[in-house]
Amino acid sequence: MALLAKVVRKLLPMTRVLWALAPIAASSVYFFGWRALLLLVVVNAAAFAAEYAFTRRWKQPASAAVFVSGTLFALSLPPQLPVGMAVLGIVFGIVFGKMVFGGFGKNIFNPALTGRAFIYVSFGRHMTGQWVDPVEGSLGGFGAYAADAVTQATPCMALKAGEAVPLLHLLLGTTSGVLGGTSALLVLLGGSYLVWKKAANHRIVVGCLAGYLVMQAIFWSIGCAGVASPLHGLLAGSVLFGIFFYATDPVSGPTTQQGRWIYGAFIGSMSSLITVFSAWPEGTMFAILLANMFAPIMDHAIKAVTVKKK
Amino acid sequence: MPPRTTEAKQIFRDNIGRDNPVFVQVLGICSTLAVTNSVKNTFVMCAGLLFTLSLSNLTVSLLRRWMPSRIRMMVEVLIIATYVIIVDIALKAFYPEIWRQLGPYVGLIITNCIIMGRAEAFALSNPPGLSFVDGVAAGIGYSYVLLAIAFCRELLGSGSVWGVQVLGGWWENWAIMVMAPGAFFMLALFIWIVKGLILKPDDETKEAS
Amino acid sequence: MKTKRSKASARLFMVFFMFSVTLVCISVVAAVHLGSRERVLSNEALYLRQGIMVAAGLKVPADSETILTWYDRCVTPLPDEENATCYEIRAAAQGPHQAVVFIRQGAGLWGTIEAVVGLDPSLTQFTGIAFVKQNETPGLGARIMESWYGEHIKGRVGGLSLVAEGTRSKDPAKLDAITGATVTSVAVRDLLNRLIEEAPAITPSTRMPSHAPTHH
Repeated sequence: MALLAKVVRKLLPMTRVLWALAPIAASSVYFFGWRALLLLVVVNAAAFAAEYAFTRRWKQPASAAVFVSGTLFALSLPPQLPVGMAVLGIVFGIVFGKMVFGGFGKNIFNPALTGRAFIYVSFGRHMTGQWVDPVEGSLGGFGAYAADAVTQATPCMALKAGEAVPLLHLLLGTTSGVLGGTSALLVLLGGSYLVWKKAANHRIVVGCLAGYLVMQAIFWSIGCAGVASPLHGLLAGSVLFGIFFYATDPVSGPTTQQGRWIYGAFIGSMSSLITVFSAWPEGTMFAILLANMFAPIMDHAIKAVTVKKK
Repeated sequence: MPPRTTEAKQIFRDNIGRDNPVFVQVLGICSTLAVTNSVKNTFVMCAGLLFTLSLSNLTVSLLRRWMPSRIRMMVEVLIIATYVIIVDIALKAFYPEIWRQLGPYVGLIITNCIIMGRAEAFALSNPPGLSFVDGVAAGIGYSYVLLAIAFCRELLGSGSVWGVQVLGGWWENWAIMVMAPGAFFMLALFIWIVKGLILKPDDETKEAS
Repeated sequence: MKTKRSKASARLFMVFFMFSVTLVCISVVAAVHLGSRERVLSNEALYLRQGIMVAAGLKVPADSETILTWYDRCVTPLPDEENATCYEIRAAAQGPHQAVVFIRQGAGLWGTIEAVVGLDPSLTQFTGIAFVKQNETPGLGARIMESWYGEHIKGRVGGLSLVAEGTRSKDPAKLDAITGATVTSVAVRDLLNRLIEEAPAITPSTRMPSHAPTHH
């Protein structure tokens, strides 16, 4: 225990995020087999090693936040992703997304998303082209190492292609998709817990949801090609997961209250915009990274305006 | 002329080490980002730059006594442009295959800040022989950094070196390495490693003073 | 008075200096250009001929002499050598038709992509493609120059749709896209689809034995 305290600094909000993620992680094993757990463990170990390699030289413990990054990252991967790519992604994310800026609390971008964007662009075929349906049967994935029912598309892609996807499947998560993003119900549950415990800022969450729903409703009502109804779009894929767990990262988001509203609305509307008009089936990741980039400017502008008013 | 040779040696040492145009002065980054995704293209780019840089340095230095200072930049650009066009035409006539791949980039040698920088900082105030040496040295300092980056990027991004597949079928190409962002990361890593491990702090303070 | 004159003469010298440097530079460039002109033109002509040969689905011999004699014997440029946009390829001089090759343009990511594309005499199947002009991103879009890409277009038919790179689908209506180069892949797909639609209208059907009876 003493050794643990020496190498890891505990942070209460981060521990809460881990609790909120626990049911989602369990569900990922249920849906996609024990391989999900393997990915979770390996990714977290790599994330910790990457961070500790830096903090040891600074004579500091690694922060518990690294496990949040690791778990979030692992849960945003496709179930079949080769382990090597996952490790590369998280190490890149931790080193270039966080440690080069000076470590925990000083990063501009969300480290987990930085890593995900890196492998998303690098290994397009693995990150967007290979999916599996959840394991069948009452035991689910607890009785299997990996799901093997290969499928072409995730609900997001199906929606973009104009096919119908039953809402119940999206809610429960019995669809193909990334490890932790299929079950909207569990994401909502974990997310609500975070908002209730104030580990996630409700302004960002509400701003995101409103921004997304409004933007998506506009595109849907004017009948753009390949636009899902706002509700379908919200429940399919990793929009909710991104909003509750990535957008609410206190370090890479803004610190002023008004800034959080703007930040949230920006992420929500950009997610919809990118999903609808780009070649990618999901835009939440890029929307959040973009918003990360503008968060300091949002804070700066708001502070300038409030000073002027006084 | 011993003092000359020691001076020339110093110029070489500076351009390759603590006064390197790429990782210390951070010049010529546009071409670092643009061409370094394959070693072959990078090599031709470096050869073109070496030619242009050394000869433009020589020419500017030869003309420096008569060149009116108010129009010196115009004259320098004119001289550089002439050499770049000659490189372009020579490639087109004798190496059409390479020219077809590199066509747009060869023209961009003109905008490489190193050439203008060396002309302004060195050739205008030094004799022709030394200026030529300085051009060659700066060109080599630029080239080896670019070739190192290109080697890593081509290896990771395409699994090949000089167009020859060296990594087997198991290798999964990192698509990001052949895109411009890959060059940013590679260059940053290069600067990080060089400044962290090889350049000593007293070199940097000397450079600042 | 004296300073004024020296100022004026300094200005005059400036103009003179600039003028003479420009003159020298332009003369050098012009001389190099004229000196290499012949070579550049013959390079380009040879390159186009090689491209036509690839597009017709033929194996390109190594020495340029053979290519040129082949071209003179078996290729009929239409409407004429100067502004040809279409070439008829015969198996031998006066022999049966082997392919029809078209020069086509499409909008790539950074500029125009120009390709020579070959169709079989019935104008339904591609016999090959060679890109003669492209400014796509090296390593991404510029990979259309790689030999597998041109090879796998052989035998495809019209109405192509894109599939992920590496699929190498046996379906003749599918075309591998290049990872990370959507714009380029789409440009090539559209260029091919457009060509196969328009080809019957632009080819003088009288010269096509298989079409001649139906069109007249």
